[in-house]
Amino acid sequence: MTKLTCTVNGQEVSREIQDGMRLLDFVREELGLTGTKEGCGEGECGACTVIVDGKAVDSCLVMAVQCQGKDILTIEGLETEDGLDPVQQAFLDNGAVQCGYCIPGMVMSAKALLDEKPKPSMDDIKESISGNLCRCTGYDKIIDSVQLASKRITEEEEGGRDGK
Amino acid sequence: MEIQKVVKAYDLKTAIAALDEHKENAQVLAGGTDLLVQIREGHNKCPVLVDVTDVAEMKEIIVEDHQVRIGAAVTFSQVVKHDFMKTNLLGLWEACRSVGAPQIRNLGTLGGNVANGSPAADSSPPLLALEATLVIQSSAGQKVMELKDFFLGKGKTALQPGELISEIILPKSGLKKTQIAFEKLGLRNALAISRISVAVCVEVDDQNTITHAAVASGSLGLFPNREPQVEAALVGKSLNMDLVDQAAQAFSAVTTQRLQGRSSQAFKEEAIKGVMTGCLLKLMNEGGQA
Repeated sequence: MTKLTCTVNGQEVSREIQDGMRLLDFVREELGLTGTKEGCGEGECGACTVIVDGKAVDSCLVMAVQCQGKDILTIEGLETEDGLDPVQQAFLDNGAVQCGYCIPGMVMSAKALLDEKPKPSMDDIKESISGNLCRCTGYDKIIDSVQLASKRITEEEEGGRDGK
Repeated sequence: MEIQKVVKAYDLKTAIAALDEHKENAQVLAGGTDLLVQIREGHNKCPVLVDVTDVAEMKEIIVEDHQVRIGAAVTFSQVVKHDFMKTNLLGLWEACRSVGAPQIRNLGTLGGNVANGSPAADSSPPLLALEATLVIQSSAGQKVMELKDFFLGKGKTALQPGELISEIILPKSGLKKTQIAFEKLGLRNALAISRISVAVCVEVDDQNTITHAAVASGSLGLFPNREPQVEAALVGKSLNMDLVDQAAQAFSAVTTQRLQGRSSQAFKEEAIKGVMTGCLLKLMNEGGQA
């Protein structure tokens, strides 16, 4: 057993866990944050994508104790007092969600992209979700949604600057 | 096998001490994109993992006058974001960029890719073609080994219990004249395990004559290989379309010989021509732009 202390969705958490536990199981079983899904369990499908220290990773390929002291963001951490994250809102507005199983991972991959590059190219967007499979094959609307989120984020930022 | 202990190391000393303490029972966790799949399937061999992904001494790319030192825990994403690598070592950069998808590239490391000993490891052909050496550390001290001597069989390497790769060193002699290209054949764009990959590194003189060639392949045999017969077909010749065809034929002959009797032979002896041609065309374009 090892004591793991890290930040999850802005809050410090501390748990005694088995050393062999994956980050995915830590998030889902220990913390009850079941928005993160397990798809393939081997890094092919991206359903378990979370953001660790700003980078999108497959949480099925990370041991929880590797995340000692790190900052973890899951789908549950995106909504704030001001409402949904622009990526979540864009997915809703565009009807980009079909069965929904891949969506938390898709949103986290898109979020990691837009945090780093608020105005991505079409190639950037496709690349960013290349590790996320949608078996309903709803990729077009997902890509449209990332573009819409990008537009809203950059408009808001530019609007904010003009306002000052 | 169930994991009983994960040692998280932040410095080389701790990592080496942990490997020394647990010897045959310990395995390095250097990214985990293959290891965690093995663990899930119960195919891992050691109950103790030594996590080196946050070992400070292993996380940097250091460009020096005569060499480039890549820490073994440098991720593929770090290489992809590194301007020097993109500008000067395009073939290695493209290989790193071709790995998996962003989530995989954010985790996977060059040291892990090498140590895993997979014949399909994307970074190995360009590292072989760049004549990389490995710095291997253990409680007994440090040793240096050429990458071409490191691979012993499918998933078998020269790495002994208690040892870890701390650094990959690329000699930088004549780097300005050196061009490196990489080409990979996968079954789809993202997340594809390479079916064939080729890296070619050449030095060309003012008369467009190839003075030095290093060719390496992935997924053509039990481990990533240097290809001396193909290299011999290039040296002393001018880099032009005739030579591209000759080199592709030479590579096909090598492939036929090596994969004799394997089901992939018929496919790969043809496919290698296209992969080699693509790789050499990239070299010609690269040279044209320089």
